[in-house]
Amino acid sequence: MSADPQDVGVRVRSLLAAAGLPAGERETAGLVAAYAVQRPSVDALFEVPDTADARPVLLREVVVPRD
Amino acid sequence: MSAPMPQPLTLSETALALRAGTVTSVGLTEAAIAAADRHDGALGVYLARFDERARAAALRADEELARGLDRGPLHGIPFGVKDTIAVADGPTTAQSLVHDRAWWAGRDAPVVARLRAAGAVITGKTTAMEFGCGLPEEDEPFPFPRNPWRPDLWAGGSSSGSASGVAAGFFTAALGGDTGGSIRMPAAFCGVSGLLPTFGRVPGAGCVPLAYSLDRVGPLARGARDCAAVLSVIAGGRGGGGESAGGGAGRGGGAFFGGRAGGGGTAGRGGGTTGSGGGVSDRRGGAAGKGGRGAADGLEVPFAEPWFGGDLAGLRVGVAWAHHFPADGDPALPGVFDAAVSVLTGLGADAVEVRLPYWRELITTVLVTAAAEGLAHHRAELSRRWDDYGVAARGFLAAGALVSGADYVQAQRVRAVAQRAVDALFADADADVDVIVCPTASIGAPPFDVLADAAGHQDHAGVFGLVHTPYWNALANPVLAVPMGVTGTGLPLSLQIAGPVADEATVLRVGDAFQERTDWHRRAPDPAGYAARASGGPAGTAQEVRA
Repeated sequence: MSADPQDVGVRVRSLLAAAGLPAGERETAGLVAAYAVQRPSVDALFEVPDTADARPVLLREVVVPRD
Repeated sequence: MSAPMPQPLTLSETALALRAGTVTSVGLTEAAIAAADRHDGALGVYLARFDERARAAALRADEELARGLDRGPLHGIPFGVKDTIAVADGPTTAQSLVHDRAWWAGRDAPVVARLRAAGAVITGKTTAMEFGCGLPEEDEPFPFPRNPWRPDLWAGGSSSGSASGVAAGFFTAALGGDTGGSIRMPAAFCGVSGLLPTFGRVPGAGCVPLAYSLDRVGPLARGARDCAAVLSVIAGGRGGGGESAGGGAGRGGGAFFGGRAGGGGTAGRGGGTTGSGGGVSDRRGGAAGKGGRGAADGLEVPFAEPWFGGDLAGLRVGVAWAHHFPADGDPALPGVFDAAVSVLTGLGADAVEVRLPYWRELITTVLVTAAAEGLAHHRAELSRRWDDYGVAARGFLAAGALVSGADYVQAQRVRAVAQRAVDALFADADADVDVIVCPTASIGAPPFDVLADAAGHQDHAGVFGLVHTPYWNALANPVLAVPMGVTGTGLPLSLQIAGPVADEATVLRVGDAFQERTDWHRRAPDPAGYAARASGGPAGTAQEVRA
């Protein structure tokens, strides 16, 4: 399902504003275009079948106190 | 037709020449300074030069060798250091107007300290894309990183000057950083070798981060054997005064990719026993297979240079064709790649075709991860000083705002699954390969005007989509890029050689064997091609920091 281009523009502008990033119109247009291209690939990550039981590789410094 | 360029010495050969007394460190350093004096304005290799300190270090190196103090293969060798890595001789700029010049001021990053302790001569700081994610921009006060093979083309990045400087003889070897290909891509475009070490192998303290779980520091030099010599000095997380590149205190690979395989998982630190979000909940991840290569040793064991020489009999080479030969790739690439594989089989290796699993997914995970982690590092500054960032860098980082927390976590889950699948290529009975080879990029060095999209951001749908390095950044495996031929117009093309986690030794041995039979890594661009060119654009020039 492809998102309405106008919705994508609103969404991107909203996310940039929420992050406090004052992108100008030309740059925002570029980010909107990139988002429209890349979002399906990002969404597809949730469909990778073998991830059902996968744990993320997140860095944690685990320190075990010495006895 | 002009006479062929004389072939430069590799680092390994230079080290022998130093000990034979046919060259001196002072002579090498003066030649390096002279090359920079003549050509840096045209090539944009340096952001800062340390000529006087380099001369003093070279003199000291010669004196030490004369009295029998030999610090090893880097003793007296001129080096360049990417300007995202702290060097005590001058501030680190990360090629940015924003980066705090007081950051690590007056201190060496552990990797630099190790180079110095090994007798290396630090000649200066080399050009980089802003924070490793920008592009050359004409309104920024930084040198344009031009390609010595054709100065109207890009040197590649983000370790731009480290690669072009080796190619043009400004120094014998260099340090770079690689988050999505920043060592291997410029090495490929400039016709030199570059090594992406195993994640967590090399300390990353004192290196400006871009994306914590992707960043790695590694060497660039002419040959594989040279990269091995550098890695033998900079490898090892302990004693580095901080965390490893992309990981913690030498346990980084393990913390991310599954316990012992990456060297982590040692009792007490690095996970392996945590079970709840610790890095090592699944011990299948990252296993190097093949009798525990890497898995048994991990990164706590110092990297030991492989035995070089001889053939590759019994070695199984996985050949990855899929995804690397798009229609808009260079027409010479298939033949050049075929010839490179034939060199390996001619050395006794068996070639078997492999398909790299989760190709598209891993490239997506790198974009998601780099943008999210990069924005986490920069968001406060970016919101305050938006206009002080370059257009390309701020566009790259702003993309992190378009990634949700769930997107980021899912990307890390896919990385875990993909690591297991790639590990299986090195371990499964069906594939059971020792290394995997594929092109580093489908093209030679591109012109500057194709790097950005209409918004001025990196064009991932265009030229950057023809560079095949990011896949490996999502994983922990070591990858060596070596020159393997040229395009129809004489630009370098490059071969990636990837190995199991923690098995740089095999990767480097294969690279060295290839380079024993070829001379692509020895070919140097003709200075006449760039000598007459003035510094490009309104870019700035390197500053000399005098002692």
